[in-house]
Amino acid sequence: MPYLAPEIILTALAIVLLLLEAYGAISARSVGIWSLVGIAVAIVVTLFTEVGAEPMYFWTDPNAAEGTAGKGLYMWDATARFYKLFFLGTTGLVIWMSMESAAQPVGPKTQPIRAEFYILPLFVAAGMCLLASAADFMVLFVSLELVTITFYILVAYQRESATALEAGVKYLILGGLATAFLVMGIAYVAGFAGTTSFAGIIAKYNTPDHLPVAVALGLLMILVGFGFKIASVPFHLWAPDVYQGAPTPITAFLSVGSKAAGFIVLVRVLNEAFGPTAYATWGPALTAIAGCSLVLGNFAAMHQRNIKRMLAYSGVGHSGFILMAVLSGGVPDGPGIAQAGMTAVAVYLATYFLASLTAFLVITIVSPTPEEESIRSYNGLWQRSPLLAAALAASLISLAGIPPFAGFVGKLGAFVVALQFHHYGLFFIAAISAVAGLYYYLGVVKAMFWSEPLEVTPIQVSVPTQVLLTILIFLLIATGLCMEVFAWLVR
Amino acid sequence: MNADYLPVLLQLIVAIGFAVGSLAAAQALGKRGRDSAAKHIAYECGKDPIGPTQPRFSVKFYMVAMLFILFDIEVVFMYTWAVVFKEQLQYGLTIVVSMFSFIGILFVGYLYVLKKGALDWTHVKKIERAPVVAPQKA
Amino acid sequence: MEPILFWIFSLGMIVAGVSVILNRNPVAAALSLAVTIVFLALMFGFCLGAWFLMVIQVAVYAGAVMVLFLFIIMLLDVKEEETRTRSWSYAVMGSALALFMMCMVVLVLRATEPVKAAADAGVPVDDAQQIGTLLFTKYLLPFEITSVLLLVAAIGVVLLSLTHKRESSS
Repeated sequence: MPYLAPEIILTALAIVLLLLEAYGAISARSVGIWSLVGIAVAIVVTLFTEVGAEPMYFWTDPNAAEGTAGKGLYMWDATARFYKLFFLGTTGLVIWMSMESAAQPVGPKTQPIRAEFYILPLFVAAGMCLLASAADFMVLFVSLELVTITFYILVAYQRESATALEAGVKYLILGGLATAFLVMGIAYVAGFAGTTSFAGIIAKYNTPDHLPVAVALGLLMILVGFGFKIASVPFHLWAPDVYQGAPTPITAFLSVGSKAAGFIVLVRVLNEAFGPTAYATWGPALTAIAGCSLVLGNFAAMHQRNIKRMLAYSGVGHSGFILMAVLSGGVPDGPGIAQAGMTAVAVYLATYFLASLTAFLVITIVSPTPEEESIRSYNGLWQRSPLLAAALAASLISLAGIPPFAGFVGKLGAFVVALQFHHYGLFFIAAISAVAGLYYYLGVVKAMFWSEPLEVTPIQVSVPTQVLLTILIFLLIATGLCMEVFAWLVR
Repeated sequence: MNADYLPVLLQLIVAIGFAVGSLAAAQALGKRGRDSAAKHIAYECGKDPIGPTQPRFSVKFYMVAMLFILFDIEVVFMYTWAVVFKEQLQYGLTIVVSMFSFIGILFVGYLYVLKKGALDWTHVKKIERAPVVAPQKA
Repeated sequence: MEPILFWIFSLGMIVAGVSVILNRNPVAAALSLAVTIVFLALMFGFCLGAWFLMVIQVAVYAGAVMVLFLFIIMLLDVKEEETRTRSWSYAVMGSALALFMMCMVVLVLRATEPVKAAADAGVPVDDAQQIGTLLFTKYLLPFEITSVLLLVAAIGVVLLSLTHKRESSS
């Protein structure tokens, strides 16, 4: 079935590569190349799979009453396709980064990049693609665990370094706690609704009355679980240490892929499993979370000396902006989240994807060791490699949300949604936070162009990566200039 | 309903009775009063114990335990499969295919674990032995 | 019959649970946890009629997972753990959290009827059969994903705890 193709392609490829490598048939590097080929195939297949006007459902429950419960476990629609492409693209770039860091010299305490380092992201990608199509809490939970457990392994990959171990343990324990909240929440909701299917839950609780206490509590606990995935305050405590300790490609994966996975399940649950009346429950909670994330993320990022930590806090801030776009529900008889909100979330994530992954690609090349991750190492990067400096500048300016770069489009969408749905307080906080964001993003840009470098040795960049960086810079500007590209993608 | 629990109750009585009975018998029949320091060491008649009583284990035990859990969970799924297998078979071969793909994927895991030497506790010695054979042939 | 059993099992769980917290020796604490799990399993079986769940609870949690717990305890230095002083702030925080959870459960139970209805609906006759049927018809997709999940876990175990030979990255 073509609708499950990306997941099947990725899993099958990962299993074959795992066996081939274990039995010594191919080298780690060729595993990386084959992984990229597999992702390219999955992207093409996903692009050419038809999207109908109505969502399609698979694994439908034959025993469910007509139109009431159990539309199916797996759904296929334009949103699913968009997020699948998003996750596949992220994984491709992450594997590219891993190959880039494999080419760098290995320190005494660093693990060399093994084949598993290319294979595990394929499993993560398969899990994320499933999340994009999940229409049932059962599939949602198992896929989310597939993603999270694989991340536990990847984060702790450099297990001989103390920071990596700290990152691994923090991610494992806080991740386990978040999973406990999530599963408890699902148990409350499913226990009261009598079904795990999104369609069944909304059929039961989309009434003008408020949600029953237990279901409302369950929904809030589910939000705690998702809040951890998207690294929003107060569930962000893991982010700075884990982003710093994890290998840089995995940091990029967490920052873009894991965050987007959290958002897709968030909007899916709020949209498909709960109707507008549930807004009374999740609206205030998410508003508070968004406000705290905006303020804390952006202001804490100012004081960071490590570039990965800085991007971790700025990522918390970005979660706040995206949540602002999510907060577009509560219209009586409307959907759980308005179409405008869904589009704004998708556009924001797409621009964040471009900018963040470009930044992490540059960081992978410039900072092969933890010592070189301080922002001071980026002083005078322009003199050492103009292309890397230009790429990092473009991505940081885009993250700051300055036109004509892509990030501006994303921020604009989130602000428009906030005004449309009368979140004036949040709008105000977000505006101040965006200005605070300018300070630290432009601080790095300034250091790259107007500070004297600590060392003057030029940085060599391989030709394929040069081409990729050029494409990414072009996309960052081009997408900022033509928003229609996104309008077409999420239509 | 209550009659259903009778075997359980009997077993409970036997289990508790055995434990209490053995302790009581030891207390009643054993010769008390011959208490000395030697009676309290780990091996009453043998070597003197050396080192701590709870030594730290090799991480290999942990790995085996972890892998055991993974395959233990697989067996749990197989149990439910076995219960419904015959009934589901009349609806087609889905039941067969699904379990075989499940086992197949886990078998890949087993092959991987095996090949990476996670279950091989004597791997180091094999490497040492290898060069001894080679020169004789040459 | 059931109410008496329920109270026996809950009492056992509470006593064993308190013993987990109060025991200085981690091994003893772990064994107390195993007893807690066994009582929970008994409650699944005798009070809810979920016999299969009871067996799984004992086999997987009281069996395999507890063995893993013990191995981890033995990987660590037990003596050091025993001499550690107790922190009152943790005790207060833990009690507050426990109280909060309890209030939540009471609130939910009081506010809503479905729980009682579900409890009165009767015990499942053969839960292994029911779980199996659901697992292999409706929830086939998550079941297959689980196998991938277990495969990833196996890879992780090997990758993170096996000492690799140092070799070049290529």
